[in-house]
Amino acid sequence: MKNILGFIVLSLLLIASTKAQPKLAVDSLTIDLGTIYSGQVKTGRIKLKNIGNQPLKILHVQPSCGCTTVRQPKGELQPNESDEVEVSFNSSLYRGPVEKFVNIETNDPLSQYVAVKLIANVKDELAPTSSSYSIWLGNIRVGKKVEQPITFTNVCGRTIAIRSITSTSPHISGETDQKRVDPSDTLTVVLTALPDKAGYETGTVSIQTDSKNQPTVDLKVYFIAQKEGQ
Amino acid sequence: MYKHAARESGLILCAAVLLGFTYTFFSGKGFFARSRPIDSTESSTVGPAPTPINLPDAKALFDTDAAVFVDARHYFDFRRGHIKSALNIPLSEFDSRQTSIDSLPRNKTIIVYCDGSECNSSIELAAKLYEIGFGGIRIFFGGWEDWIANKFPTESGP
Repeated sequence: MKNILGFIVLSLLLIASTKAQPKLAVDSLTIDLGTIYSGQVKTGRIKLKNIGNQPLKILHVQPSCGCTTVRQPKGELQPNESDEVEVSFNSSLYRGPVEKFVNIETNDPLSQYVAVKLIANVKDELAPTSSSYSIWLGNIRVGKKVEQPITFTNVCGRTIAIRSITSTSPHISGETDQKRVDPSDTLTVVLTALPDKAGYETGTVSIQTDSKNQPTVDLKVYFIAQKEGQ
Repeated sequence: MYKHAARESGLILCAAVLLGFTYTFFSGKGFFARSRPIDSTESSTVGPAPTPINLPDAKALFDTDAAVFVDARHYFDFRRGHIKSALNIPLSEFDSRQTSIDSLPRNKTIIVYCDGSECNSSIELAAKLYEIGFGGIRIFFGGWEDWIANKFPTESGP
């Protein structure tokens, strides 16, 4: 009899211990940010809830790219406690359908990693003919000036005025002599790089326009500068 | 008396110097060591700077096992899926991934990639590898997005 009772108690303890665990529930595995213009920042929310009966530790909330930032939730959720992760997607440099992820790592023993998909459709008014806002200038000799023209097509139905062009790098610049771009016409911006030291360099060239939808068109420019003989 | 002591000191000094030179000669360490032949597998000569590679060329090197693919994305994304047999060296963990970097072969093309044409981790990783002596690195700008769009071989897990 004692043995049977002991067996039952042990079994109950075993069942209780296996069921006593944290469990993450998210309200949706996909956040649809809808259609946005390139350069706009759109924010979404992921609701997290601990539906287990042990504290849920949120170990990491990591976006899959530098284009997405997250407001970190609490480090630990008690059973039935909820919190939100605010996710901001910067669509600058993106075009067309975009799919990114926010990865969540917890101590949920059945699902340690959960990936929430972030989708958006990014439109533009000044569309780069090279199809990308990222420009690789290649390997450049230190002290040598390299120029590369980049063209854009005005794909909206009205004239866009060009206000100014700025750069985040003293060694990268962009220039145009055009003040306006009529519908279906092209804009040419000449990118110039003049490295003064060896190594990797990147900068953002921003074209300011009068467009409400795309007031800034960003170009991310990259190159590797080499000394003579390398 | 002093003469005798000076002679003995001199002899001891000479013996110590001779012993030291003999040790450095045979151990290969120190001032008097023999110059080592250059091992091409650990040459620090900087080769050609990184250059882009397109999808068909990257796939051709993949098919002939002539390249090592290096995934510059975060390990969460790598876990979810990556180019088959790729190594994961997340850009953000470059300094702490010395073992992975040391394991990169010098006799194969290294192809670095990240998400796609909008990400810059692959370029930055290529630049970092180049700075520490890896030559001929190729940057696969199309990255993961181009690879899976063409249903080329992938795998998931760490």
